[in-house]
Amino acid sequence: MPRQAGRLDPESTAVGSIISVGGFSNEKFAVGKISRGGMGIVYQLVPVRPISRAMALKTYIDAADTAKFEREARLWISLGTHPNIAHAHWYGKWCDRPAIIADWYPLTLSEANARQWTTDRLLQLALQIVEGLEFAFKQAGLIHQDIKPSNLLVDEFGAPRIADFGVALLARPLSREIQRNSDKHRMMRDTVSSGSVAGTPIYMAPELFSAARPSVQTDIFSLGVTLYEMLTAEHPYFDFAKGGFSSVLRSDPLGAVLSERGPHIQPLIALTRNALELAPERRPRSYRELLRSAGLRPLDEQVQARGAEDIVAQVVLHRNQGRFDEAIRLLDSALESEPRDPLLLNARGCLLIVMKNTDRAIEALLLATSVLESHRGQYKGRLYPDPPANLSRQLLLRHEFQQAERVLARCWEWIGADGSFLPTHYPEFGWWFLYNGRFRQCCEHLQQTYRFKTPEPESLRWMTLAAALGKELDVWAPEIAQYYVQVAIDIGSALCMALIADNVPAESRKSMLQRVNEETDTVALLQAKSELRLSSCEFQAPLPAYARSVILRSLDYSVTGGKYDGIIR
Amino acid sequence: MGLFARFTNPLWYEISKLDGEKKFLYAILLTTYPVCRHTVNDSFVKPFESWLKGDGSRFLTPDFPGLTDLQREQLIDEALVALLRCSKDVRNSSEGRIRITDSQVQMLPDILGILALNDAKSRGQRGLPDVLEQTPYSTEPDDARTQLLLKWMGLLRVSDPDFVRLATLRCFGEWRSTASSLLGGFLLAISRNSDDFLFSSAQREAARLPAHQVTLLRGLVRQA
Repeated sequence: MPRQAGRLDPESTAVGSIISVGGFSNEKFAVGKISRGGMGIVYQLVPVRPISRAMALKTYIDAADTAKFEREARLWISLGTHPNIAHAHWYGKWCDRPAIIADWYPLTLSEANARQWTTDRLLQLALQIVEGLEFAFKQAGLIHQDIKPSNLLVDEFGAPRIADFGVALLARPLSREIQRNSDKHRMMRDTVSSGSVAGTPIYMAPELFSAARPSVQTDIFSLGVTLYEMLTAEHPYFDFAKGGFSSVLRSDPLGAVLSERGPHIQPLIALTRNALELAPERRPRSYRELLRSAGLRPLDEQVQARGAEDIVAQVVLHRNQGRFDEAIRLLDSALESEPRDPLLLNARGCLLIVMKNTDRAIEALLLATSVLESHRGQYKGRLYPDPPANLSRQLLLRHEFQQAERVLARCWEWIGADGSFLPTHYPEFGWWFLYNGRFRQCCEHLQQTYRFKTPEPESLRWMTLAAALGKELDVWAPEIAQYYVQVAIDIGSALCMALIADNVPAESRKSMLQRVNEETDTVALLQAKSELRLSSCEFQAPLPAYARSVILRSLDYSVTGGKYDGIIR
Repeated sequence: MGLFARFTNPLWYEISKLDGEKKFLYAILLTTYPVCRHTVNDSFVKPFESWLKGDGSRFLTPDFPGLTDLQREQLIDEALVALLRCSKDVRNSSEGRIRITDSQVQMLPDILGILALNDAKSRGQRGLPDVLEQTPYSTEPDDARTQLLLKWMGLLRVSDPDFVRLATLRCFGEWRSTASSLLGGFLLAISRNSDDFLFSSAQREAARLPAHQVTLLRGLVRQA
């Protein structure tokens, strides 16, 4: 098996080979899965250093036709980061072959067994695919031309990601802004001149077979076939049992879905039917029209429901009075007409957290995060990181650290992209800095956060750990001590006080220890006392070193998911 | 060693006839191999198994019943092969108390690798080479660890590549240090005991070896 980058031949690269992709990064990767398709080979890249997620390296088989591959790569990368489009990072050459690196997503829609999903989730899936397609069209004038289940990936949060822009076509001149970029200008010339029909026949709109030009309408038809297949596991016009095409939509399977799932699925069935109109003149001409035809509101109109803030205020009132059922009924009713309002979704998520229904809370917060991400311009400085912060907090509590990290990393990208806004109210970003080794920034961020809200033990532990790992414990000790005095005394705070006892003025130390000693009925505190012999050592004993080791040992997994395991031990 | 041992422990009988240096080498092999397996089990497979029962369970199919004895042994086989492959520069730090040459010390991982591969084959693993050098594992510890986890993914039918990252963080913190110090540490430990102790341990281990290992080792002894 070849092991060294540079000596590799893409054809003979096997699972387990160690490679690197010069130009992309200096990291080494082990090759996981290998999928060979008609157009190229896709290698799953598993990083050797466990610091980043898996990637996909796609190479193009026909080296002679590199222009086509280059076009795909450029178009794909030009779409940037959208929550419903697979994220491509880099384009270049690997082993003298054109190659593109994108995020790796665990499943395709055809593998995801979507028929087992809830009706809500199916509806959201369809809306998210439409959103991705509309974005690609609006942003870069792209017609995908090959929408099918195997080109729709499902990310770790269950959201669809449109991939494989290999046969995509530019339908209109690019915006002035994009035209200014010479690379993209070249891209436009290439694609317009290549305007041939391509795709997977069974998903293609009928007019494409009579030389019609690909359009949004032809993508809508392919989406209809995909959704039909997802709902019924059959083809809308081709009967595999009888082996022939029908000129009439096979509506029985859809009827069965409707009777099985009830009227809530009706908008999705209507959307699917309308997308599958054989005559192009009867098919919706835009994604907006497609949604409206199914009784769904266009996405940008849905994003902020009128009166959502009033509804949320009422929900908070109900919640505070313990009327959770009333609150959730109010939200559900509002979300029925505005299923993608991030304010409502966020409120629903928060309410479900209080009701201890974390799974459904995460589902709502995920969707709110996704909507915010794709419509972030409308929320600049307002509501902004609420859903992702709430979501990441829930993920952290479930010890799903890598998921939390991804949510916050993505959110940080939007914030960075939008300029000056800093999420100072959100301790989750402190954890994120800690997780990424930005220790000082973690301490500074949490210090700022505590100006607005009372510190909580969890985030105080993050701050303590960041200060310790950043070797700045001495600098931060007085602040940490003050914060700990503000929160409930627990084992962590006792340990922390012991840890910093030498760094705090004698008077403060005395009052803090006094406070610790008053809490005699706390089991955790008694345990802390016995472990650390707080009462006997007073202020001079060599506690800090011992406490340091205890606190770091006790904190590592709960705080970082083991990321700094090696350093701590 | 009596004639009776020729039939009850034929491998040790043949080893005991070898000259001093070779006898010493085989005694080291016989005592080191089971300890290597135990170390791999304790340091990596056991933590991995407990992680799989907790946080790591999300990578498994819901109907995964837990590791079978066979799977556990297969995980140890693979991990040992990977670990030996990246155990470079084994040093004889016994200051002459172990009477084998430096080149024999350097060969230890390869010979132990032959035994590990032989064990893996006996458990139905197909297409395995006979020697470490022909295995896919890298001589770089981090690379080998990643390759090993990919292999484990296959054995456990895990498809999410994030498994590798998390298993590395949770269960493989000691991989590099084990790769660099495992065999050297054993040699040092052996040097602190008497030759008689080593030989009696080796004799006991030889009697415990399964038939496929006895056959392999007797073949090697006859070539020696």
